[in-house]
Amino acid sequence: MALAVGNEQEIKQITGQTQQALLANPQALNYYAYAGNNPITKSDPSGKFAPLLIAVGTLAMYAPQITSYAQSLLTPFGQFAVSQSLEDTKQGNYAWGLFGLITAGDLPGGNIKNLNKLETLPLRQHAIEGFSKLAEITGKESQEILKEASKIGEAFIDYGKNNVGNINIYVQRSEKLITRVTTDPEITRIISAGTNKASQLVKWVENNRLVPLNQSVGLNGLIKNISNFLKK
Amino acid sequence: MKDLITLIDKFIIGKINRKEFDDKFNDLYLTEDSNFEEAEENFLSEIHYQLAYVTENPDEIDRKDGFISADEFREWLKDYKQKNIHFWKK
Repeated sequence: MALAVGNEQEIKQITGQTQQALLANPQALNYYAYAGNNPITKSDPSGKFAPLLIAVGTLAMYAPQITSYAQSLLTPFGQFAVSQSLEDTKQGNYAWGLFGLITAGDLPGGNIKNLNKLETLPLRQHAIEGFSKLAEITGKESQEILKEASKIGEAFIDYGKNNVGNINIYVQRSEKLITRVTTDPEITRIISAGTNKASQLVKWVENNRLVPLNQSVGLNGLIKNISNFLKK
Repeated sequence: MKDLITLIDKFIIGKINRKEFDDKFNDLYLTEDSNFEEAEENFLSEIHYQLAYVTENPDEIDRKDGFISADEFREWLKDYKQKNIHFWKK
């Protein structure tokens, strides 16, 4: 499967929108993308996939939540899901393409429920050093970064070969760079903070080196998540 | 990439310390406009990953969290480079 994180050209080709426009205003999704921008030769005669279009329309009614959703698309996992979704659409799997787009990012807040206490955790010395560097680069203090991480960050268990299953929380900083906050596996202390490249995170997610904290919800779980999300 | 390889070699032979290596490595690797080839990116990202788990005199809790000392990192980097530098032909 081709990965296209931040691939402006591909996103524009398939959706008819720039990536920025798409993320800033998901309601403005070009529905012709449903037919790969070619409604003449590609169609949905059975109408089986129409409910998914309705779901997109329904999501558009929830403007504040949609803003959070758009933010979640900016995370590495969100970008990965968007790429998969675009690939599905290109291959004619429109239903999966749309479904992937709806569920991209595992829904805002869906996997960080137990991380809202980040600001209260003690910082190890390496974390203090890391935050100091981040402050130089981003102009943000540690409390501000922790607040962002607890609210819009995406949490992953890190199964890197030198690691022990620490928890990494990522917040998108720019198109290519991500801010990272790392806690121990029990989430009792913050052990470091730093920067990572979005492209590498996507690769590590792909080969299961990084696993979303609340993974394994499966298809039914994702549908349930959408349902719960809409009820909020 | 050439600058990064030179930097790695300098650290391995002890010409620069861990902090100097850390600062310079991040300056050269973590840039918005970096354009490394895939093999280079994979090679460097592992070093960057391990570098985040290096500290002076790691205590028991540090060890539990996965941290190693600067000397251990130097040995790791030496071994890692020998085993993974085959793509580098320049």
